[in-house]
Amino acid sequence: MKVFVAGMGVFTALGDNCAGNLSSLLGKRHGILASSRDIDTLMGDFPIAKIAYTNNELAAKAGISPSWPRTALLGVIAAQEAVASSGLDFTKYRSGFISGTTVGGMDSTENFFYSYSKNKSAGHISRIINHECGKISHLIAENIQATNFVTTLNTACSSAANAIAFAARMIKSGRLDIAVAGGTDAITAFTLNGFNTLLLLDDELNRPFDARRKGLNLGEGAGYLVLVSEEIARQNNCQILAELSGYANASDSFHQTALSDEGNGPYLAMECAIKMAGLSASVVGYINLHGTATPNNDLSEGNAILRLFPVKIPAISSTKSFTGHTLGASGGVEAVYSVLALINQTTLPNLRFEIPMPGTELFPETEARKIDLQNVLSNSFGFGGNCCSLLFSKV
Amino acid sequence: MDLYINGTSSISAFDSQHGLPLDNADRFTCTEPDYKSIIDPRQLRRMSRIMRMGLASAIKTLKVANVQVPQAVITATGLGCLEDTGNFLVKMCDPDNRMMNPTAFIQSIHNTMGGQIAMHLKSNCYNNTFTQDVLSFEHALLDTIMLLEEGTIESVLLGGIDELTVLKHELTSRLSKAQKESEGYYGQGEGSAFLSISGLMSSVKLEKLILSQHPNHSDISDYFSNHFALGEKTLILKGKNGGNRDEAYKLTEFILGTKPTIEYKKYCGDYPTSCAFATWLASEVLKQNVVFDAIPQPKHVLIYHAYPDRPHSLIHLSTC
Amino acid sequence: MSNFIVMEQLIFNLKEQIIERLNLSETKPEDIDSEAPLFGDGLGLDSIDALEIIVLLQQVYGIKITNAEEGKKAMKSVKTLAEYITEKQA
Repeated sequence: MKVFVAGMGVFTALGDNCAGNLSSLLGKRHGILASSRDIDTLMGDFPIAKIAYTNNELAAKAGISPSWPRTALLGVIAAQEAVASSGLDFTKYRSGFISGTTVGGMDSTENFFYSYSKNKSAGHISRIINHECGKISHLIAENIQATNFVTTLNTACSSAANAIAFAARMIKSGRLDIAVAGGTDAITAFTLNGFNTLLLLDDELNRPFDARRKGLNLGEGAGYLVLVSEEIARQNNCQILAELSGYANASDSFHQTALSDEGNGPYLAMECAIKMAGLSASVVGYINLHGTATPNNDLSEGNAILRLFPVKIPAISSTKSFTGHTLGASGGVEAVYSVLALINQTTLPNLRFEIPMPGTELFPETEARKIDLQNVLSNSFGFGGNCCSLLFSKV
Repeated sequence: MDLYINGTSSISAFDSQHGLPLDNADRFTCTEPDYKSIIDPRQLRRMSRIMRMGLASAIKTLKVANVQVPQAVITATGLGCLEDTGNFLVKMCDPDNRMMNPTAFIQSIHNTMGGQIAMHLKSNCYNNTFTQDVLSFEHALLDTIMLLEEGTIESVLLGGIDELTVLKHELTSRLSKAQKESEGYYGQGEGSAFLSISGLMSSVKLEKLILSQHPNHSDISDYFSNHFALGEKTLILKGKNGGNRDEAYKLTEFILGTKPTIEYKKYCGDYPTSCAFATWLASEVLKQNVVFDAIPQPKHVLIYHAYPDRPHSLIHLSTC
Repeated sequence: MSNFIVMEQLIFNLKEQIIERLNLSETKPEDIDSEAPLFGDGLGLDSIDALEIIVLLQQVYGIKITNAEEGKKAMKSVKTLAEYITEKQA
């Protein structure tokens, strides 16, 4: 059975819908415009790709309660766009919501802890009720009426990609007709300080796959696909944006926060996703890289690509040079970007790349370039060695 | 496809020898083993309790099941690594003493246990972590069943883990008061339970998982009715926690009324992945390692969870 | 106070801080040889411990290690670490 993409929605610092994001990507306008000090005044000054709306503005935009954590607010806006663009009546089918997130309602929890740390009986305890990652999915699912099955995956930065793969399996096994799948994560002081203690933040704009890359910039956002079975697509005469032809999950099994130099997990994830589609590596036209711009990730991912594509390297780029690293959402955001690249038959640029990593001769795309694309691979790798690749094919 | 449980291991507040909870206070904390005999002490040094409990029960399960390396590792946790999360959060929110340390951040993420198990096994296999509140374990079990049915792999290591920290206990108690949780609540708990599942025949068969979406949960009622019509010896493990939320069990009371029932949270406390403990307990009961007077030698165990505004779940295990 | 005593005190403090940070609960400051390698054979520390020590230097001594090579040299042993701190604070 085939699984198709019948709709999508995305919300990042580049814009609040697919069209806005695409226009920024093609026009090479990045969204890494804010500072970590906007979130945590005691922190150093690191560039971040924060969405300019306040929580109240987001709630008004989505037509819901401003008491929702930011992760849920960002997610529901992207999910609403995805649902609307599919034109499907979700109440007529077994429809599910499968989402990846790493911080859940942390921004609201932090709010409570700032008071609690001064006085143990202070703080509004109701602020922590939506802390759990699963609560975020539950809130969003109810809003978009995709409640026949709701679950959440947290495999760090591959969460959303794993959510998309799991959703496809739910459809293939006949358990769901429609699934909205992807991920959402807000920037929080918790993640900013966390990555800062790991010394993984660049204090300048990130440079994915460049020899001089120093680290990542954090971003926030959400991205969701509407996945449908062949039958539902036929019954409804759906627009079909792409086929999700392959996906694979693999462990790098090397280190808690670093990938192996040779990129075993990334290699396996990419290789198995292509194999699953019954294709050979040579038909992959573009790879949307995980490309966080940390020295370790890009080298590991680069080495895996060099091994998997010994003859000809496909076009590659990391759109994290635009959006920053949206963590658990990145697999969803970049799945949307991969499908946009496929529909528009274009590569997406990798900003600020000048010098290839020593010994790799990997040259990411620096411009949006018209290209004949049949298959696009989207990579997501996370802490704990959790790797996941998705393959989208032209229909 | 027939699926079987080939090995289990659990760390909980339950004393299996005496069939009693170890702690009758308002919290159920695990009796932990001497980890040094299970985990390399150099690794142990950095591990929080949830990681120790998770890795130790994963290792023991594989040993019991005689599986060297499973072909998938699936973990479930409702709240994740609370000790490290709390540790980092408390330091971060104290402007005078911002001594956040990287290890706490690294180990705050939900997939920490899954990643640790993969590294311990040096395995590149499928690895996933589910976190959907009280249904986290059921969803991980669903993934397990799907993977085995897809036929690309033959064995899965599955586990549910949650930890109770001082901070969690304090905040949840405050929250319960705010939400007027009723008298009779059994208390908060924690635990780690792992299962090795495959098509290889063993004495404990995984018969059925139902995640019910129906407004009146008729699929679960029907399953109960059909099962009881067969007249076999059945024990029901209910996920009641003694508090307000038990209202949700009323829907099926007319069928389950007089059947031998154990409210298992009396033994492990209330926590999101307690269903993993219940599945372990069911397997122990079917193997007669644990005997309840209510029904000494059941052939079937039905694990039933009912929640307000959430799908109900049913897991059915049997022995031949 | 003589430089020697200051140095000895700093070494002792560092050992205590390292033990606490890295959860070396069964190790006492006197068990750590000031000149023995911290990583690999000596105390058997790894890359996450290195990160903890770098953050410790930042938070407690206000010293930022930016150059990886320099960091490696400084973190050879507790003694080299103490010398590095003294040099940076001078």
